Amino acid sequence: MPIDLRMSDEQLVEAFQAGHVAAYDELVSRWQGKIRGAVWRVLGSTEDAADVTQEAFLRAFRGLKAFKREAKFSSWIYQIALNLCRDSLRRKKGKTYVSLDEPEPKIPPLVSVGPSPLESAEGNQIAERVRHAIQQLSEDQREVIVLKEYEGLTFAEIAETLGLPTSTVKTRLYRGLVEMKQHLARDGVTRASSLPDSTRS
Amino acid sequence: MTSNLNCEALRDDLIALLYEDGHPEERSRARDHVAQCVSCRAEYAELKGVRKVLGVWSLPVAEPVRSPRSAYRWATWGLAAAAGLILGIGVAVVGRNTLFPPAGGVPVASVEAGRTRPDSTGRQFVSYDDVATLLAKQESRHQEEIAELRRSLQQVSVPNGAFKTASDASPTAIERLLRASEDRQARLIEARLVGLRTESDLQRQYDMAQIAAGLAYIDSRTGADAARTSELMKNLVRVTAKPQDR
Repeated sequence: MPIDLRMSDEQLVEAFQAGHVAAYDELVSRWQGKIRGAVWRVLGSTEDAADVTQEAFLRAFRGLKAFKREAKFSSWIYQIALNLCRDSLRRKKGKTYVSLDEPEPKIPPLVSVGPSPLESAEGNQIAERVRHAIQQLSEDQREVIVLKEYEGLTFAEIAETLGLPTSTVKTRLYRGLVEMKQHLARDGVTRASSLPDSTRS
Repeated sequence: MTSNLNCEALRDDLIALLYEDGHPEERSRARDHVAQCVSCRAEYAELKGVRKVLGVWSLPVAEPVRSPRSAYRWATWGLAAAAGLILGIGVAVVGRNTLFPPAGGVPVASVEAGRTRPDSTGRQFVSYDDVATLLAKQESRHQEEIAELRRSLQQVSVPNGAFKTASDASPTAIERLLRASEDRQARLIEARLVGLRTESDLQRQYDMAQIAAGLAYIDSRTGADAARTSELMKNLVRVTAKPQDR
C-alpha cells in the first residue's frame, strides 16, 4: 500500500499495522510539532521537551502494533506525551532543593502595561509572564489549558486524551483561567489592553 | 435578576461560549445568561482578556523529531550521500576533462571535430545537444560493456569445480557448495574452539595461582592489622576511661 499524504491518521495507523512501517514517518511528521509544543508548554523547558517528545514517539512506535484504534491516534500520542511529562515533573520535583533562607525568586512586575514604542520587547515580557503564570498552575489545569488554548483540541478530544468527562474538562479550564488571571495580575498583566497592538489577536 | 447559584451552574456553559465549543444549546444558554447577569458579563470579558494574553506566548523554533524507524534510514542515506559525493567528484573530474579541457588543449575526444566552440580563453565548450549525443554514446557503450560482462560471467570458473557455466548453477549444485562451505566452517570453528579452550585452561590455572597468592598475602596483612587495631582499641579504652571505671 503506497503511503499517501492525504491519508487520515486512522488509515496510516491501519497501514502501519498491516506492515507498512513508512506510514509511521508520516504520522511523526504530522504530529511532532504539536506534541513538542504541548510538551514544552507543560514542562517549561526546551531540552526536556525534546527528550520527552522523542521518547513519546518511540513509545508510540513500539505500541502502535497493539493500538486498538478505538481512540484517535492524536489523543493517544498526546496521552503518551502527557504521561511522560507527569513522570518528568515528578522526577524533577523529587530533585528540587529549595533554600529555606532565601525566598523564591519572583519576576518583577511590569512597570508599564500600556502600549509603548518597544512593542515587541513588551510582547516578550508579557510572553515570559504568561509562561511563568502557566508554570504556577496545577498539572491538571496546565494540561487542559495547553491542550485547549495552544493545541486547539475540542472539549471532547481533551476528554478522550485525559480520560475525563467533558464537564470536568470545562471545570478545569474555568478554574485554570481564573487562576491565570490572578497570576498574571500579580505579575502586572491585568487586562487585554496591556498587550501591544502587534500582539493582539 | 439571576442568582449566584444559577451563575455557578452555568459556568460550563460560559466556557463553552468562551471557546465556541460544545453543544450549541450550552452556548445559547450562556449567551442569554450573560445578557442578563452583570457579574457574569464582567467575568466573561475578563476571561476573554486572559485568553488574549495567553495568545502572546509563542513556541520557540526547535529541531524536528527524528522518527524512530528513520534512524536506520538516515544511516543508509548518509552512506548513499557519501557514495553520491564520491561519484559526483569522479564525474566532475571526468566531465571537466571531457567537456572543458584545459585551455589550448586538444578538442573534446568524444565529440566530432568542429562541434566544440572555444571561448576567448581558449576553453572549449559543447552545447546541450552535444552533451545529449555524448550521453547516448556513453549509454550504448555501457550497454555493450554490460552485455560483455554477462557473457564473461557465464564462462567464469569457480573454485572446487562446482560449475563452469551458468547452466550448472542449479539449486542442487549450489546446495552442495553451501554444505561443503558449512562443513569447512564448522571444522574451522571446532579447531579454534579447541585452541581457545586450551588457552582458557592455562589462563585459569595462572589466575587461580595469582588469586591464591593474593589471598595468602591479604590474610597475613589482615591478621596483623586486626591484632594491631585490637591492641590500639584496648589502649584507647584504657586512656579514655574515667578513673572510677578503672
